[in-house]
Amino acid sequence: MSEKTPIPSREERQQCHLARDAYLACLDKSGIDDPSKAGAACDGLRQKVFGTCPESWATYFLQLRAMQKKKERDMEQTAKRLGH
Amino acid sequence: MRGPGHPKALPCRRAYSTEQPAKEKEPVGESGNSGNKGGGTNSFLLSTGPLSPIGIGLFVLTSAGIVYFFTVTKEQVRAEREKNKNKQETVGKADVGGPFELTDQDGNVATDRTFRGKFALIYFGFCHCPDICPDELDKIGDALDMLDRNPKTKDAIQPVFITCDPQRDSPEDIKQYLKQFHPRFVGLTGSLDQVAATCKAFRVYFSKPPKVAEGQDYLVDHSIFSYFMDPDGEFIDVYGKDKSALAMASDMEMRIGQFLDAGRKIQK
Repeated sequence: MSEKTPIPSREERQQCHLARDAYLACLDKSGIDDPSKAGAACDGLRQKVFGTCPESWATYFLQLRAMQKKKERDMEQTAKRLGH
Repeated sequence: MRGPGHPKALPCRRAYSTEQPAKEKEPVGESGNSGNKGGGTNSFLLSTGPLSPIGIGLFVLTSAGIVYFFTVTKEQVRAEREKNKNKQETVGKADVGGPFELTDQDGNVATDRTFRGKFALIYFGFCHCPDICPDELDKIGDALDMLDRNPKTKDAIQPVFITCDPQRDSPEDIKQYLKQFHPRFVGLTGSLDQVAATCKAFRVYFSKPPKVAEGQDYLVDHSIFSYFMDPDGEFIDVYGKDKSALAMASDMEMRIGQFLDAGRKIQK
């Protein structure tokens, strides 16, 4: 029981979500799809996410964003291809 | 021979009545077959052929039979359609729910029967969930708050949280976790087998990552639904992530109303 990660409270969850939103907004503003290729652009905010959120959550949020971005790009490609 | 005044006289017969010999032009001569032209009543009644009494009688019987047959089948088709029309309303009702045995946040045994007498809104999630579960639980709380404003629906629904992560979520964990949400929430956990059986009954998909180190954090992948059950433990409806609190409250209010209108009572 003592080994498992603690369950975040509502306040901790909110802090984590705020950090996430700030980081993702930065990535969007900088037009960065893949953070691993972003260089140092939003690194400070990234640190904050991993600092306030459980690691599994931070990883999950980034994976979710990657999936969403991929979907957006695919849609754009399809639109171009279909002459939309 | 029939005169023109005879009820069964056919107009064309007049043309043939006495001019032509029966065997030549009249394929259906009434007295022709019996060989008795203009014969007495006896021979007429005994004659066979389509326009004889027997022939006519058979025709009438067959017609009556056909009419009767079609009337009956038409009625059957209509009744079937009526039955199926009523079925339409419940055709989407899935075989969801059923008996389960779990442990509540106070360590007591809780089964499906524990929740009889009241409506229940059951959400499957886990305490280490990053965003979706808290959002859904908040949504349920909002819907219940709305319904609590109406005396008819106040306290009519028991919110239930069932964990898909029994290996981590102990009764104590769930008790602490649920303090963040609507005060009426009851939380259930159990052995992996018990939880798996419950999820199966509710058609809930859940999956823990295969290789997790001891103490390492992980997320459980699971389907995101709230199940609305009636006081008899029967499944009524399922609400997904896209259903707003207001839409849920509105649906549930209608169902509760129907239940009460049917004369049933809710144990509050």
